[in-house]
Amino acid sequence: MSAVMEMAEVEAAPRPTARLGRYAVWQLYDYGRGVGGATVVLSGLAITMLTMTSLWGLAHTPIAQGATSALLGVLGFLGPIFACSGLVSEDRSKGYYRFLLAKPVSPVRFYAQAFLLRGAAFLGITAAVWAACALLLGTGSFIGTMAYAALCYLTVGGVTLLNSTLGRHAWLATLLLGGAAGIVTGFTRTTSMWRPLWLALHAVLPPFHLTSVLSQALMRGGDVLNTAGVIAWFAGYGLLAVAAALTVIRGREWPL
Amino acid sequence: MVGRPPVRALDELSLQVARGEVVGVAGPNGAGKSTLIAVLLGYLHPTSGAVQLDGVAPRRYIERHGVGYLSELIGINPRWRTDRVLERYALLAGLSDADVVRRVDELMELLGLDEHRTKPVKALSKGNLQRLGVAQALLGDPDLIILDEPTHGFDPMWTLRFRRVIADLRRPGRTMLIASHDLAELSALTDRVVILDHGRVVRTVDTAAKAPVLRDYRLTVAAGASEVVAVFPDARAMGDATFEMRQIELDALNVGLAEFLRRGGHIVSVGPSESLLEYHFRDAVEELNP
Repeated sequence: MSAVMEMAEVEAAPRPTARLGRYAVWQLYDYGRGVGGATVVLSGLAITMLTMTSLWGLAHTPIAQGATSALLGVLGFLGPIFACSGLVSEDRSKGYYRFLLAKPVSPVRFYAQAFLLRGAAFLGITAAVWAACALLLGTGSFIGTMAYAALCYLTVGGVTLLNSTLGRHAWLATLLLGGAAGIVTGFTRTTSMWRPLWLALHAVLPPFHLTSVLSQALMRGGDVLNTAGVIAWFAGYGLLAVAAALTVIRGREWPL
Repeated sequence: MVGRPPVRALDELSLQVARGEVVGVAGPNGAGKSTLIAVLLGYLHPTSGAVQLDGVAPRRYIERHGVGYLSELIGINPRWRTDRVLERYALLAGLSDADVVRRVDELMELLGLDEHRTKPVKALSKGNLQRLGVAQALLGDPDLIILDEPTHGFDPMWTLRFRRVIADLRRPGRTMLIASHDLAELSALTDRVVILDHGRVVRTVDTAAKAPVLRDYRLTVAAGASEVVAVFPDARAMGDATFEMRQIELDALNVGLAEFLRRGGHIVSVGPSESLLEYHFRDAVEELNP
């Protein structure tokens, strides 16, 4: 087929392109009104429940700090899944992309900005939850917690973003991939004839099983230097996932 | 593998639209109108061939200039407030803060949305939602406007007002493409209409062209019904004192009508059975699907 349409005069002044910087306010608003708000509420409920247990009497002891670190660890894993699950798939499945992408806007820049903004907002929530935990019960290092949350957002969020570009229910796909990675990791320790296959799968599947190693090293005063390789693998996987997601956004068709 | 078999929605389609032209796209359901628009917007990629907007690939053009696009299905987040919808899209259309306020107010008024501005989208009626869709398409004053079934859901009053809105949008250098089932609308708004069927252009109709020599006419009389058949032997009674004369020349029709009046007949109305575009549409589709 061929179709040719002639539009603007060649000598006409260049048209303004989308003001994505100004639109960032709306992207943050959408996150705050939706899954971001839910993340805050759930985190608040979790802190409240912790303070209502016997931990209250153990505030600022290693036991309480372990519990709050565990809470921040769970937040670091689930928060990015919440934040990125519907980021692209909702626009695709509900047809919101039709008007958005008819404007002079690059879909890659649009969704990359949304991903970064949600990441920043998620880190803000993490900081607030850390502060509440530190004040009420005591917890691990602030910088370590933020580094852990940022790494989780990059990798867990990046994989969820990629899943969101490929289909609906990205949260479920991410959890299933995480579960599969955990199972395969267990198999890599066996000596069966299938071990090379498990090792290959282990290399391909997201390294979510490493989140406990990361949280231990970053939030609970573990040996960061010895986990540098784990951190690099985790971050590298996240960067690749985000790059793959943006590549899919650029090239993939949008449904009728 | 289980799945739907692939469908060739557009096939050997060739279409060139000149700058400043207003082109209609008509066709039966499933003819490929919406697919053509999705390809023009770069949402779908052709499996073969090429699509260019102003000499470049569709996405490249749109990311530089934007397109005023109204889809058949209005996809706007139902929780967004009506005026905020336009403010958001205005930012994406590249309008300055001052222009956002001015343009949103203008379009709200033009499309009768003022009284609904604080309502969430989910509270809008079908017609109001359609008008919101039209409003967002016009935000950035685009050089290319693509409207898919623009009056779908409009009441008759808004259909007429919409035609005036579209007529006012005409300007040198602005290209418009309107896909619609409403042939009267396409006749009124466009320079030519491309008729699609089974993904192909089966006919292009110049809407300003003269009518064909032989046409079908419909005559309704108040008195002298028995004389109609005497004057027009091939006339077919349609009931309610209405007759259809098929494939008759205008001169022969006038001669016959004069004779009918001379014999004491009274005419209530007389006119073509179908508009020029309806004639071509029916003829083209019947030719392909005998």
